[in-house]
Amino acid sequence: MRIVFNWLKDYLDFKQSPSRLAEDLTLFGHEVETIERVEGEQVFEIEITPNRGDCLSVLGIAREVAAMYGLPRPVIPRTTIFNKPLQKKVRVDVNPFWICPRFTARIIDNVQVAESPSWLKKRLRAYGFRPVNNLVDVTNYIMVAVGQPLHAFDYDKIGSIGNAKLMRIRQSRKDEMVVTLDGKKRLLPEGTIVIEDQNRIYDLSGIMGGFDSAVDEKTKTIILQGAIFDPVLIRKASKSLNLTTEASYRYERGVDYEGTVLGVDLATALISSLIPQAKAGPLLDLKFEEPKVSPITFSTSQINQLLGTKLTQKEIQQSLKRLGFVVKQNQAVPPSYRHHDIKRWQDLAEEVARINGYSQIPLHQLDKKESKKTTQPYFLIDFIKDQLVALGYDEVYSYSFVDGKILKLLGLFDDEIVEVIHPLSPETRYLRPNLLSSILRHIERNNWAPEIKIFEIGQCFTKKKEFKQLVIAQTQKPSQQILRFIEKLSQAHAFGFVRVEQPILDALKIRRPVWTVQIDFEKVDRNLVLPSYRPSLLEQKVIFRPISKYPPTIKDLAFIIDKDFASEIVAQTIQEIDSRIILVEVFDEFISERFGTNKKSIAFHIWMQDPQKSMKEDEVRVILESIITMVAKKYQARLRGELI
Amino acid sequence: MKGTLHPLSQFIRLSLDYFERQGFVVVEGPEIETEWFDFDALNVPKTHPSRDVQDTFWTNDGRVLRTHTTASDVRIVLENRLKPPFRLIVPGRCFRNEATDPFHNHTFYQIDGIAVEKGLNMGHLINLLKGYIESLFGSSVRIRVRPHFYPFVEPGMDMDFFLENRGWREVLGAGMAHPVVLQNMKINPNQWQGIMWGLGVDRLMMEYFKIDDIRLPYTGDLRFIKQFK
Repeated sequence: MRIVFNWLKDYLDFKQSPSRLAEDLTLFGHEVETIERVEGEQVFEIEITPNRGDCLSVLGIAREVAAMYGLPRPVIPRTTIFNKPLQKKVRVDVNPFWICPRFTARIIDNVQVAESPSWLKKRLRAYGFRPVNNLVDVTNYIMVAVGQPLHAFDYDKIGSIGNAKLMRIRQSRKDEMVVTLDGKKRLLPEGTIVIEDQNRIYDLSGIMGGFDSAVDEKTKTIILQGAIFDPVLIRKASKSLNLTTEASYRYERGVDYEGTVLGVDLATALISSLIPQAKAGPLLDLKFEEPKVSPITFSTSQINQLLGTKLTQKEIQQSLKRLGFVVKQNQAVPPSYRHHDIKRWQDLAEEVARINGYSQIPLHQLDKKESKKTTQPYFLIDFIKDQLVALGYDEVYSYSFVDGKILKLLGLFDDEIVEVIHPLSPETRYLRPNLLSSILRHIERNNWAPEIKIFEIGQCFTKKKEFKQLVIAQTQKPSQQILRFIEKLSQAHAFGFVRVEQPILDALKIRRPVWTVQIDFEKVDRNLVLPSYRPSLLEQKVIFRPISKYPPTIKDLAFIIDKDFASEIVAQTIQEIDSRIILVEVFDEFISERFGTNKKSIAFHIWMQDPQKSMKEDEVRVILESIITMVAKKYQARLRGELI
Repeated sequence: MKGTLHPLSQFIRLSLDYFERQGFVVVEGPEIETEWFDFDALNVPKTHPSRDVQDTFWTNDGRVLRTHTTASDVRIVLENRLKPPFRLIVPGRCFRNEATDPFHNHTFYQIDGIAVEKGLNMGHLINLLKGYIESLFGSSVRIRVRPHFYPFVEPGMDMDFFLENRGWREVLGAGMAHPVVLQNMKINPNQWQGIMWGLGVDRLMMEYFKIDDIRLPYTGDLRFIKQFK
């Protein structure tokens, strides 16, 4: 909802600056997302939550601001309307009543369609409306002002019954159509609220006016309508027609039953001031069904118990009164504009908390309770992850979606694949039936990596079931250690690594052998996890270094070095030499007499990147030379072999 | 040589560790959920606009890719015939059918929590969650709470924390379990109070590690993953 700051000030006198108000409203439950300058006005973009249809107007926000600051109710200046009886008449039939519980309207004769004055156009533009003409602009302006959707029908375009124009409000039947204002012919879903005369449907009520009854340059007389329509029917039609308008948006969220007359009167007054010769007819106000309002009973102790506060009954009553509730003892009746969302005492509690400030809620400690044992089934996942990491495997995450091409390539495309309907992007159409497809993509994406050992644990899907799987993939022959671990995961089943077939690797442009194994979790021995096991936690916080969109260059260096220097320390030193070194990986480390007493060899993969481009060979060489110099100096180490 | 645990796994572990120390038990739910558990059971009727807040992936067999881990709350309680008091924490993957950019993704992780006990109140909830944020970002971090609407809680709230240069950032949504939700769990709302929250893992993790693109963790790029040793 957009709120023009000065428009708000028209209805309520307050001192706070726009930025102060924005912060206060946010803490009051209406998050101000941005403040923009439009047409020289400060305009707030406020997130109004779907339960607060009453806040979709300047008046609605003014009411909230008044309650928040403890100010008197906002007032909209109203001019007296001098209505005269007119010859022109309208007959309104509603069936069934609940679809349109209240219908308020006025005939305005002798109107002249023209451009709106600039102040009006400016305000509408600041809100985001494109000005059309004085009549349409007034209906839009008053809707934004007080929240009551309004519509102006061209009186002469509507068919008569006897001496009156006929407005028969009913639900549409199968295969009925209406042409809306925008010229589009729309097939109506059954049950949509429409208005018709003896000949045709001429209005898509609460959503968009009909083309056949629309105001144009020749319009002389209008029927100005401010009605209440059933929110659920409006929502259904709007969804089904894929048509959301300023009116339907408000109707879906609930319009104030007691606000129709204000809306119609304000619009009549504004039209009369813009078109001095216009003649307003008497107010037509038909209440077909009145809302049932019953008081909500609350207790001070219940509210305090829920909030953790120690408010007195008087403080609770005062808070509710500030928001327009009528409070007697322990009963509260919400104001008519809050009937849609205030239904039980818990709702009252929230209102009380809002007025007193969420920040004022005293903090409470939960009772001490230890129950780690029951988490054990979940720890199985952590346990397996920790074991694999210890064996040198990197964990990857991939999306649960998979593309159709790779499914076909792997021979997995069948009737059991779960499919998403209307995905926003084609990549999110199929759900993975196993993890192999995802992990092979990861191998391909890391083609530059010297060796790859990765795993993923995640959910897989078929129409019949959802299950958890572990997949491991690697570009080197599996070691004895990993084979043993896989065997241990389940005593009963023999799981073996397999080599991915060459045609599959070729199709994925993977140019080295890949071994892989998949294990369904339901087959894993749950007793693997010892009761004493705790997942390992990050020891030191890592600060991420952005990665380049250009491929990295990876070079290997091995040093002969005193065995007392830890490889991680040396790696750290190398890392700090140049910002283009993104990773330093130790891949080999061993002690041998042939390097001299107390000496060892450490080999590193040096990953280098440039954020702007691919790295040139001479740039790489310069970095490697400075690494060699630095490591030699700092650790009295020498390079094994030669720099190539 | 040691491999690397994915940063999402690491961050989820840190988070779960905090809540486990507060007596919460980790439970998981399915990623494909029925419409009832994802929406209706949580007091989000089809007829109300609160249903539109989330762009939902629907499967061709009429189910949904869960839009939040809250979807698992009612299921877990019913399937395990849980009776209060209990404290549960539900980590997992969620989905929204929306376009992606460095700050939005169609796939993300959430950690939902629910405790149902006698005498729980908003003060317990705020304190617990404040402690969580402080456990990650230090006790000097500025935190605020403000009213917010979620159909499954009443009263409802959002928690924000303050970031230098970026201002207030929403971290999580929370509130007192709505009576309708407790009833759907076959719990008497007049006897028991529930605290509930849901927090988005990905964005919080981005702040924690200073990651610049929300999609990076799902690319499998080893230049990214190997940094988190």
